[in-house]
Amino acid sequence: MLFEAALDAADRAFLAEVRAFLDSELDASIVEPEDALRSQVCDHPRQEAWIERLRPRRWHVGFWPVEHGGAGLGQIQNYLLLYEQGRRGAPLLSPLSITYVGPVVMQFGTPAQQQTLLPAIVDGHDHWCQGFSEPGSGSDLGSVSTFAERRGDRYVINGSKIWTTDAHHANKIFCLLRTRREQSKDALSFLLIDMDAPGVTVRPIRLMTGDHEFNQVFFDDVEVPAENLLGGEGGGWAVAKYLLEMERGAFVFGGRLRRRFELLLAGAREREDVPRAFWEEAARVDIELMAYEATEFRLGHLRARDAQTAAEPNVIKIGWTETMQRIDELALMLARTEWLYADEPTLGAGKGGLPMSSWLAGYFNNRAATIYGGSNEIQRELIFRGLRRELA
Amino acid sequence: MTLMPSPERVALVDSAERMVRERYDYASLRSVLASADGYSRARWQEFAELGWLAVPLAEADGGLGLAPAVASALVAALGPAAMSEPLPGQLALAGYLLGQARATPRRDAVLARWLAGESLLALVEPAAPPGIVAAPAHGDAVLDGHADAVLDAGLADMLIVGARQADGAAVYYLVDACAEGVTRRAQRAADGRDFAAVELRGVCAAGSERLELTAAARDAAQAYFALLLASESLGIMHALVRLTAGHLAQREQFGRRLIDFQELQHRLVDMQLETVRAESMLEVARHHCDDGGPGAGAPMISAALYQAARSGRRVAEEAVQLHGAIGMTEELVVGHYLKRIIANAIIGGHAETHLERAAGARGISPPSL
Repeated sequence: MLFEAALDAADRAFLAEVRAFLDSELDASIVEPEDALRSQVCDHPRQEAWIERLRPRRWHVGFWPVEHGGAGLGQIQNYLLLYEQGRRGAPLLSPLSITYVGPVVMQFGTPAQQQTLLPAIVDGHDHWCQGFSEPGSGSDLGSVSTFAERRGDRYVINGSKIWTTDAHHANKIFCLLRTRREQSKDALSFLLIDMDAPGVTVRPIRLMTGDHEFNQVFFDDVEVPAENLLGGEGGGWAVAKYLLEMERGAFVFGGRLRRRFELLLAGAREREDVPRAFWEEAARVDIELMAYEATEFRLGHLRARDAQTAAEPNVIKIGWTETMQRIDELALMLARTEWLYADEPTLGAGKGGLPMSSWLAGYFNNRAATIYGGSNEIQRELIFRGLRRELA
Repeated sequence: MTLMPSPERVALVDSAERMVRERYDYASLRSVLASADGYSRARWQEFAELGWLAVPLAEADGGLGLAPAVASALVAALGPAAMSEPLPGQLALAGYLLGQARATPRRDAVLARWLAGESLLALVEPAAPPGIVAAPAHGDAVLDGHADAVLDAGLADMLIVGARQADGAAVYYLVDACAEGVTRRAQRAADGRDFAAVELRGVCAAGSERLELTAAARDAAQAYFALLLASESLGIMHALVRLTAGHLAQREQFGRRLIDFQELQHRLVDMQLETVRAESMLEVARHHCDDGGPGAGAPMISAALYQAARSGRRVAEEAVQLHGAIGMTEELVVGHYLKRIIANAIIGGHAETHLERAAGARGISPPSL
């Protein structure tokens, strides 16, 4: 970790504790194998096994306040915990429940909702997926048209959500829905829905790699109790905005990317046919990666969240996605014909996908990184608004 | 050492930013560049009075004993001035370098004059053989040789000459720039900096003028210089983003301000992202100099210089582009900024050489055969 020598005594001790924990708990059965993951969507069996090991210390929900079941870690310690896990190849934990639903329930939920939903995430009972994008509403999230009609004490939902990661593993879905037939922001509401409610159908979507990560979810007259509203009727946009900020800013990818880069170089050292241009490009990518690691730390985690200006999470999102793609592109410099059909062991989302080298599958699947989580064009739009305010 | 900037750093940055805001503008820079000296002696004196020259020196030498991160932040804050006052070269290759030499009465006296702003020094140590030759002469030496592209050699009143004895050992001597046998030919650079070709013919160097300087110390000074060049480029990048935003906001075409076109907004954002990238890498380099000085931080300094060169060029090129034709003229500071950024990628060691060094230090290379 680039700024390790400047940590204070408490943070340095915590880092030592994390490393000792990883030494003893992150064994070969759990760590990502030498082949890279085919994408950033986690492998479920490994994720569950790893959460079991984290659970006694509540480190799977490390940054959650203690009163909500977390370990109450401060910004820097949470960063160190996530960075080191990524660095050492611990399974990537899905952010959907821990980083998206948990915080919005803490911020907007009623006491009853907090008492039910938060423990269910902490103890692994609930697995959430995200119902935001629709076929007609991608970047323009405010235009969603899936409708939740109020009938007495319940809503009846019709429409569909798309690009829903892990809907096939989830037992719950959170949705941004239209509750009034007008185009204003207070026509939107945030509803929490059971995936096994009658009328919910999940259809898998296969990417160009054949991998199944995303889905389309259809709602046909799905009935949801009104108390499943989060943030009140018409409060959906505020909840969604809060969640999107968490989505962009909470990721710690620096360690994971550094590991991926090192695995790539280790593989290259074992071959005799590597062009010199690969090493020259690797030198450039190494520095870009260091610059990203430093940016992620100093812009994302060094200052308290509320002291950040709005645009820092967006800078970070662009940073890790574009740096990750540069590492993938570096990997392409090593590609051989065998990569196009190699039936190497693949993880998680790769099951059922077209046989190909994990590096190649990673390159194809990670083209999505600059599209999901708010496309990098939208990220630039948001950064521009921040820049205009700052330079005014 | 902590993650947060020290109070000294914050105070120095504040005073530098104020000076840039209140006293540096392109029109006055152009007239200084056109003057006989090519820089402002009055400004240099002011830097000395503000204690800026004391930043890289140990307290025992009358300095402030501050980490390289502080000098880096100071130079970055002055970046928008893109000045011809020779601060990076003097801080690293004069003050810091002399401070690393063993203390002798002669060295101390020269350093004190430098610290007071009364003297400028230039390091004359050509890399290419045969370099400067030092022939022994009864405890003294006679220096012969030639060096091109010596930074600050035209402005300097004193030279630090790095020569080789017959046995190959490196020796350093203080030589008055106007001494018998020393000729200088000005090589004023396109970005306004002072360079000179220096010729030494039968120059007498007394034993008392000898400096004891290790190769490690000399290398550390060169690394310090590279750090400061990267720092200046970072300051220029910040200025270019502001300047370009300002231009886009006031220039109108097709009935609208340029800043209302989304593509141009995004290109401005990309300039900002490059600046963040360079700043991040510079922070890493600053951090790695905290404990062991610039020598210990050299690989990260090389990475930071490479990043500043790459990002700086992209930012400056884009600034010219977004200014349109006027960005090409010498009337606007934008072109001067581009020249300075390109120069900073060359004169402290080429950015591509620094890339190789960083890669070598970090093991990014094929397995040895």
